[in-house]
Order: sequence, then C-alpha cells, then structure tokens
Amino acid sequence: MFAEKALELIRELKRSVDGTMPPYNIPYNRLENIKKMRWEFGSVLPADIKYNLCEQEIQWFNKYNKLLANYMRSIGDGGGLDLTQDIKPPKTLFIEVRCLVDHGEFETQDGNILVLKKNSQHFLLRSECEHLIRQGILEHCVH
Amino acid sequence: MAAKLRNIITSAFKMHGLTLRSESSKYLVDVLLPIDEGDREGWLDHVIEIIQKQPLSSSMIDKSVCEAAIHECNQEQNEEGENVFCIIDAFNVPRFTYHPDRKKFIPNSSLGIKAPMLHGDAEDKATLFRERYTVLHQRTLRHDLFTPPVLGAAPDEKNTKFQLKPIEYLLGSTSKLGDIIVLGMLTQMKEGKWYIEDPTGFVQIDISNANFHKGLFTENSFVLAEGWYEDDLFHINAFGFPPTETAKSSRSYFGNMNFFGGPTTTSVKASSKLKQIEEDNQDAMFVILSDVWLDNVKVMEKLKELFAGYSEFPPTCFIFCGNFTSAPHGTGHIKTLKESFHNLAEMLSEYPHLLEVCKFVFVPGPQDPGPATILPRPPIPNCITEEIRRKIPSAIFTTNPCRLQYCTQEIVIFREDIVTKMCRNCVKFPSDGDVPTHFAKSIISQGHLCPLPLHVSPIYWAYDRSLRIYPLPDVLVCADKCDPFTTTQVDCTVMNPGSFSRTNYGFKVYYPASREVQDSQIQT
Repeated sequence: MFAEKALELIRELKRSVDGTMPPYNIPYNRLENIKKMRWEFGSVLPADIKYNLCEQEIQWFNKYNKLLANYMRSIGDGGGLDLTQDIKPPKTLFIEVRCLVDHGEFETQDGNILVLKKNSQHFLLRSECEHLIRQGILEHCVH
Repeated sequence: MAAKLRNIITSAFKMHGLTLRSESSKYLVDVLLPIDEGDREGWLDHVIEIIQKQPLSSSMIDKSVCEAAIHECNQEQNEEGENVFCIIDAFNVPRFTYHPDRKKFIPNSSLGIKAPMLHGDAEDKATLFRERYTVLHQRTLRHDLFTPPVLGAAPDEKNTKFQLKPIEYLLGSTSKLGDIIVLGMLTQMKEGKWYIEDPTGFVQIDISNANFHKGLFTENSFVLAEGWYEDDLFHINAFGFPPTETAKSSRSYFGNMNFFGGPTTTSVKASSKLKQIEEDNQDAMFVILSDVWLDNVKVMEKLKELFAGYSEFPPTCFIFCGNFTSAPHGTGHIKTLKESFHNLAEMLSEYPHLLEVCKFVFVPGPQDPGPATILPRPPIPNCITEEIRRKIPSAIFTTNPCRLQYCTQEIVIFREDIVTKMCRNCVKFPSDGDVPTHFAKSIISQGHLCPLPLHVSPIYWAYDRSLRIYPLPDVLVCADKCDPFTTTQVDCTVMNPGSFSRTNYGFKVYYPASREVQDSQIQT
C-alpha cells in the first residue's frame, strides 16, 4: 500500500511542471504558511484569512506569536529587538511616505504626535512606519 | 518617569506585533503608573494577553480595547464576578452559521446576514431546515463510523467504516444499490406516503420492514436510514438517529466560542475563576417547579410551606414554569393572573431573607397570556407583572424557552407539553414503554428542543435557532405535565420536574456543585 502511494507520488512529481506540484503534507504546508503570515501581517490576521483557519491553527498561531514575542523581548539591550522589522537591510534611516487612508493620530518614538491624513506626506523613521506600509496605510514615495 | 514607562509599554506591544494609538498609550500609562515598578511588567504582560484573546480587526489598538482589557483585569480580581448568574432570553441568543467549506461556525454578523424578523419570509423557512441539517451532517461526519480510514493504516476488520450518501446519488442510479446509508429528514410529501429528504433531493421510502433504534421518530426529524434502493423506492432496513456528541468534544472542534449567549465573549467553560466559585459554593441549588397554579388555594398553601421551609437555607434561584392559572379564565384571565401574582408577592414579602438572596425566574407556559402558541414565546406582558416586579426586584420574567448560565454551567429551560406531542406524532411508538429515555435520546440527537412538524408545533422561522441545543447544555429542563423523570445522556442531564399542582406537589432540586438532581415533594 505504501509502495503504491510512493509510486503514485513519483509519477506525479515527474508529470508536474515546476511549482505546480500540490503540497504532499497539507497540514505542514499550511503551518509553514501561517508562520510566514506572522512575519508579513503581524500578530493580527486579517478577518478573511482568520475565517479559513481552524481552531487548532489559530491556537498554534497564538502560541507561535507568544514565543516569538518573548524571544524578541529577551534579545537586544534591555529594550528588545523587533526581528520582523528590516527583513532586508534598509538603505536609509528616514523615508518619505504618503498617507493612503485617514488613519488619525500617530505617535512617534520621541513623543511627537502627527496626524496621518489622506494624501499628506511625511518624513518618518523607517522602523516606525514600516508596519503601516505593510498594512497599506502608508505608501513609500520613491522619487 | 511617565515617558520611560510609555517607552516600555509601546515596545512591549510592538514585540507582540501590536501598535498603540496615542490615546491608548496615554491611558495605559495612567493606569500602570500607580503600580509598583516590580509588578508592572507582570501586569503589562497580562493586559497584552487579554487584548490578544479579543477578536481584533487590526493591529492598531484603540483606547476602547484597552479599557475593556483593564476592566476584565479588574473583574478577575473581584471575588464576586458579574457573570455568575445570567438569564438569556430566546430572542437574544447568539447567531452562528455553519460553513461547510471552512468547517466552522461563523457569527452571522460577520457574514452580513441581516437581523431576523419575527415573521420571516420564505427564505427563513428554507434556512430553518437547511441549518438543522448542516449542523447534524457535520456532527455525523465527524463520528468514528463515518470518518474516512487513515491512509496507510491497516484495515481493521472490526471497525467497518460507512459512507454517507446524498440522496441525489440514489436518484441518479438506475441499478439496484445495496447497503446505502443516508442522512435526511422524514417527511410526508403526499398524504400517508413517507419520504426522506436532504438538500439534494427527496426519495420515497418503504418502512414496512424497518427496524427502529432507540428514540421517538417523528415527522420532520432527521434520521440515518440504512437500506437498499431499487426502482425509485428506498427500502429501509433500519432507522437510527444521528450519533450524538458531548459538549466537550464539540468545543474541542470549535474552540471557546460562546454559543450559549450571555455577557462574555468566550465560553464560560473556559473560566477557571467561575469554576472556582462554583466549587466553593457547595450549597447552591435551583428549585424547579412547573405548572404553578397561583389561582388555586391549595397550591398557594403548599407554596407557603415551600418558602417557609427554604427560608432558613435560601436556594440560588427559584424557577417557576407556567401555566400560572389552573384553567383559562376567558375574559377574566388577565385579571385573575394579576391578582394571583399580587398574592404571591404578598406571601413572599413575609420572607425578606429569601427576597434578598434568591432569584425568581418565571417561564410562561402554553396557556399563559401572550401571542398564540408559537415558539419561542415572549415573557408574560409587563402590564400583568408590573406590581410583582416592583415588590420583588429579583423576579425575572423571561421567554419560553430560555437559557440560564450559572458559573460554568449552562441550563436550558423549556416549558411545553412536548413529550406527549412527540409520542402522538411518532412514526412508530417504541415497544418498550421507557418514554423518558427515548425522549431524551431524540432531542439530544436532533440537537433541537422541538423536532416536530411546523403544523403540530409552530415556530417563528427566523428564531428557530433559539430552540437548538448544540453544543449540548449541562442541564435541560423540559417541564412537561407528564410524570417527572431525570435521565443523563452524553453528559447532559434531561429532567422533567412534573406538574407541581397535578402530581401531589412534587418538584426537582438541582445542585450545581455536585450536578445532582433530587426529587422533592411537599407532604399532603
């Protein structure tokens, strides 16, 4: 029975074009995707994705999130280090961003408050606004 | 100082992937500043944990979310939480829809389904049966007998697996099919002819040789039918009810969603605090009486004895089920009932200790004033109960059926002469006369309080949901005028307190701490 299944898998592998092979171990594949999503979306998943996860997957996501948070707080000098930032090395510390939606007040690390209004442009620390760009609230202006 | 704390707070949230709005960080600084520096971190972690448990829509944390979290924190500290006792009326039960593709229940509000109307449209009637079917179908598929065998596992001779077939599979076949199992609803499409129906179609059945398993098989109940199919006729060998499932295993699939209702967002089963209160409160008890004829002198005398007896050891709650009058009094009905409630309030005012400690829950019966006998039934009108509610502030007039949450226990109360009705509408009355067991098995398997045709027991279509019992509650009180009984199946206790006024003043007492039910009677 296992040999039959193995033969079937090898045939399928041979037939398939690159990248079209369906994942063999679907639960594991989903798990890897969920892990990836923590790095892309942050700790709050968009509602439409969350509806497609089963209860156990949500629990797993929460646990992974907690582990990651505890780890990130334990490294760095006292203040912790956010590993999800700067996945690629940044070229500049400050970037120019344009607001795409009315977001409201935003507080920078030095305590200044600025109002993010639609179509306004700001010059901000990259580390602070990166997650907002990822959520689609800001847009990086590239000249 | 404050600036430093603010930095700590924002960075802690950031590590968890959350961003604070400026007003919420200000709020948290104000809250955490008076706390000792050493304890701050622990509290901060706790607040974050609570925030993450809430259904967040974005990683930006508003002030309102923080306030809710702090409120919850404070509530955990209080010994007497607010959520110990709660009555949920039938029109306010949470609404979920099962989504077969996602294999989970999703709140109707996030699916964009509009709020129900009392008198629904045709769509609501179709949804009523379809939803009852989908809930039972997913439960059946998860049962051991129907799960597909694990790939590569050695085939087990003992555990034969079955496959559920939709009815269109039968209809599309021209040859004889043997050993077919179908989940569907029993109906009579034509007078005297039985059919089985599921969302894909319907087929006529021959039940002359059918073997009935345990339960009361009524029209419009869902059954597992096993048999063979030939020439547009499905010959049934055996009928059974869909397999049951304990509330615990339902919850392990669907998580801590609050299916039952009440103020908490997650199920009360998950709260260790409430569990603790429940265990500490060994003396808690519920006194359940049905058919309390307040216009009957003899009954009032016995009630007086009852209150006098309990005045030393007040129970948590008295549950009075209707009818509250011995007979329909015609035009004088409302006046009689008003006077009866007045007498009851007068009598109770002699026991101030009871009034202080106990709750009094009134569930209307089929004969009490209100709209026609369509379920769910609204509470007795305010104009009748105004006086008693003023005199007894802890009196709660609620709907029929209603749900009661006490600590971690869920109790459903239903006042209807349903046992008799079900027996009368059976396809085949069980040969052994153990009606209570058959009845309990039926409603637990159906996951519905009233699995009867709509013409026998009408239901507001859009509010059918409040009669469903899935996941199963801990206790199901089916107040019926027939003989009292108590039976426990799949961790759900089904009890009938019997008619207080007819059966020599008998009633039931439920002890939540030990989960025991006691028969009681007032000596005649």
